[in-house]
Parts: sequence; structure tokens; C-alpha cells
Amino acid sequence: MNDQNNFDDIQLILNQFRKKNPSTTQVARWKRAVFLTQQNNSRGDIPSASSHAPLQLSSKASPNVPSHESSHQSSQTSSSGSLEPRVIMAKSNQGFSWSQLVAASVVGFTIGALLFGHSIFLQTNPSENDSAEIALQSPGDATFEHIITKN
Amino acid sequence: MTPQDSAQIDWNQVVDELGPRLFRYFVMRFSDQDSDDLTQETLIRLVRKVEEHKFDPLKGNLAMLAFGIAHFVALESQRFDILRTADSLEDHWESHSQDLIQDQLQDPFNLLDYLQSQAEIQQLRTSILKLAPIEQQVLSLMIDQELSLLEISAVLELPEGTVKSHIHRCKAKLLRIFEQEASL
Repeated sequence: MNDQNNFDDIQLILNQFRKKNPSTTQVARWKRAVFLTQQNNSRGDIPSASSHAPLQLSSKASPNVPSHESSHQSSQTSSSGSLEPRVIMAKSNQGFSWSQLVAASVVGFTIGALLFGHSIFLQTNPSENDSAEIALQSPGDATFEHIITKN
Repeated sequence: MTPQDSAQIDWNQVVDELGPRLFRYFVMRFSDQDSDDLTQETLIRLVRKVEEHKFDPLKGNLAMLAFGIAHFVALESQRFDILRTADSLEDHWESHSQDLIQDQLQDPFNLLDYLQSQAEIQQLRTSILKLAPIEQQVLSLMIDQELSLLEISAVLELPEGTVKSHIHRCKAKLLRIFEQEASL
């Protein structure tokens, strides 16, 4: 009973959207898109990313297409009543994924180690030698703290 | 009959039948123009699924498969942040459905009705976009009267009871939103 009440109320709201219907032009365009997809598939073509697939909508165009241009295109399509399916541009991934970041840091670290690693070792080696000298000169004082403070 | 061949399907008929249903599914959350694009995308993916023999009539009908795809298409477009907060839906007055308006212009009284209903829908859509994503998804599927609650729960991969409780919550939240809007 309670469920039924909920459903009735919600149905009233949904009825507003149920009035929405696509135009005949839109339906014709979808039919054309479906037909073209079928044709491509039967030819064994691999559909290109820019032809249909995921998923940059034409109203907010891809980064390569200025928004005014895309809205101009779509209004042209509408007014001329073209039945050609609208091209849905593939959206480039603007952010970096975690795996890309990790890969970039590994590469960066490796290059850094190759470039600067040698000179770092050159710097640390003399200090090790100094410590050895101190240890030789005053074996009693050659504690770890001594070596550290001396350096 | 096992996985169905695309050649056995009359795709024009499928588009005639499913196209408007998918369009209404999207139109609750997206602008008219975006709904048009998303419907096209869903239909294309549906053809591909069938061509790849991934449609098995024993597991469910073509409409269920289409709404399952539509569900993911909607999620994908939201994830990519292409679409649209309630604010950005404002621009739909400029860009959408020129051909529909052209149709309506034939009769000025009809056009007034049309514009009024557009305004109401816009307001309602803004309220619905304030709901949690899963609640929006449930409502969007409920718009299609031919989908049963069981089918909705199958598309969303949720138990039927959970779907019911989402509907209950939707109603309570929408009432609250409407009250807040009325008091402003």
C-alpha cells in the first residue's frame, strides 16, 4: 500500500518527462547511424574512435573543437534537417591516471640517477675517506657521533 | 533461440520502438541535445553487442539490454564530466531541438504550451539532479513504463527491495526539495 502511494507520487513527476518525444528528424538520424554501424560491422571495419564511440557529446565539444563551432554545427544540422548522424567525438583523457604518474616518476628517477648519481657518489666518497682518516688519527674518539659532527 | 544474429532484427523497427524510450530515459538528467547524442550512442552500441553475438534472448529482451547499455553510457558521460550541472542546462534554450520548435511554430498556441512544459521540465530536472546518483538512475529507469521493477533491479544489479527503498527516499527528498523551492 505504502509502496503504491510512493509509486503514484513518483509517476506524477515522471509523467512530465514522458511527454518528451524525439522529433522525426532525430529518429531518422538514429536510424541512419544504426545503418552505418551495421554496414561498417559487416565490412569488418573497425569503427574509428572519432566516428561514434565514447563519448564526447557534440554540444560540449571535444577540446579540439571550440564550443561555438560545435553549437554552430549542431544548429546547422537541426535547421537543415540533415539526417546524417551527428558525430560524437572521442574525448581525450585530460587528466593523468595513477599508473601514468607512477611510470613517469620511475622514468624520472632512473634518468636522475643516471645523470646525477655519479656525482653524488663522488661527493659521499670523500666524506667516507675523511671519516676513515679521523678514525686512524684518534681511534678512541672515532665514534659515530664524532664522525658525524666532524663532517 | 540462442545468441541472436543482427540480420534477424529489423533495426528500423527497433529504433522506432526503443529510440523514444531511450531518449526519455536520458532526458530526465540531460539536456535534449545531449539526450539525442546519448540515445544515438546507445543504439550504436546495441547494434555492436548484437553483431558480436552478445545478445541472448534467453537472458532478457532487447529493451533490457538497451537500457543496460544506456545506464553505462549515462554513467560514462557523467564520469567524464562532460555533462552538466543544473546550471549548465540553461543553455539548452539556445541549442536544443530547433526542429521540434519549428514543428511547434506552425501553431502559436501549441508553441506556448510547448514552452511552458519546457520550463516545467527544466525546473523538475534541476530538482532531480539534486538527488543522489543512484536515486537519479532509479528514477530514470522508472520513466519507462514498460520496464518492471524486477527489470530495473536487474539493470542496476540491485535487489528489488533496495530499488524500492531508493524510490521511497527519492519521494521524500523530492518533497523536501520542492518545499525548499516553494519557500524561496
